[in-house]
Amino acid sequence: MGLHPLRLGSGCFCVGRLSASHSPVLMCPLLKATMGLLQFQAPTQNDTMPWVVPTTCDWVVKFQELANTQPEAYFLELPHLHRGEKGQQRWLEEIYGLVRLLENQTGRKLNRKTLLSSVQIFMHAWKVFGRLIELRRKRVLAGVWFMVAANSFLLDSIEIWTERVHQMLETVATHPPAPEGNGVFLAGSPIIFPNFKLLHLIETAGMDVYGDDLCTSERIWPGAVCYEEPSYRGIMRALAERYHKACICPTFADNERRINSILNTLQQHHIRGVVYHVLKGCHPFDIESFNLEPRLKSRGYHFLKIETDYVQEDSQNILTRLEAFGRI
Amino acid sequence: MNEIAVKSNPRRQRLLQRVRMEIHAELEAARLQLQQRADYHPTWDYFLNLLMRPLAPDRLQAEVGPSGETFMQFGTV
Ligand code: SF4
Repeated sequence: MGLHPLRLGSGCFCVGRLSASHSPVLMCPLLKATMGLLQFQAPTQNDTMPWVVPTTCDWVVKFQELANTQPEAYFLELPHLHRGEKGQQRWLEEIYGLVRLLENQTGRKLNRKTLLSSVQIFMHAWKVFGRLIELRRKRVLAGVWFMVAANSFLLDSIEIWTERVHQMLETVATHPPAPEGNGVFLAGSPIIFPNFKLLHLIETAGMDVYGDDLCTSERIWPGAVCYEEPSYRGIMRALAERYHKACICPTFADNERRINSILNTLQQHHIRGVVYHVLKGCHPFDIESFNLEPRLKSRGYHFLKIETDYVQEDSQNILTRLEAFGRI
Repeated sequence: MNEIAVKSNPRRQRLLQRVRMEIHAELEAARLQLQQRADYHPTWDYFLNLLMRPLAPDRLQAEVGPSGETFMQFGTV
């Protein structure tokens, strides 16, 4: 439809103070920083475009109200039970509602041909990105560079971005793998540039991230779009399923697959443990950690929960804990 | 705080100015830290440059504009 989605989110430490006086103390720092950044936004034609807000966690639901700024929010009501037919059907209706909104905004009609072509472009990007994941698993690409590429997803047109990821692949494909070392899996709250604090500290402690399930990194795609028939309705259903049924965000209530997916990656790639990142105020991941920790430990994997904020002051403390974790 | 309140408040404007410089410094420091790594390669600069634009929507529009795309803002990460 000639639209480009732009993800709202920020990893800037200093900007949160612009919103500190009119937001709760324990607010998700990622959204607090985003709220601060919005105060610099020059009015553009984007102001007429609504924010599309999937009702994931409470902070996201209340974000527009707290930010108290234009444009209006358009809520996509996310059914928090996603294994059953009822939730999936409701989500599909939400997606059709979104299409109507976009059609009204642009005055253009979404048709099967453009939908199919867009799905194919994104599927190609997904495959290329999958190869990047493989290179990280093989220790050819450092976790920090992987995160740089993943974080920039949707900040340019998808075709150009894919082409550059492809170049990145070609550049590193001939590199020898780093010596087998202390690989960890990173799970929990999202990490957004320039907040690479935890990644740098993990490296300083002699470890590297071989895999992750952050929604700003490996989990930007929940998988392929699999349609039974390439009709308009068939593709729409497949798209809805991919971003709902296949998604393993911790805000879902029936989310056994998420823990199994982490366990599978650890097992397949001989990763010995999980560093679990919790941003202060991020309840979904905090709550999940209490379920994940015993499940991992009972299978012999190590688990370290790091609760942190958008500050540098706790770096030494985190490093000491990571070093101890690396020595286990 | 909405835009009208910001414009009519000089103290707030000075604060915005200061924070704008701090954001810039924070981003530059983060980029430099990555570029000084032994495994840095200039190919990565494309991605770093994208990440250096925290106030992306208007600037992106200027840069990607010729393709005719309009940027749609999506909530959440
Ligand atoms: S899930 Fe956590 S990190 Fe993401 S928006 Fe909600 S509180 Fe913030």
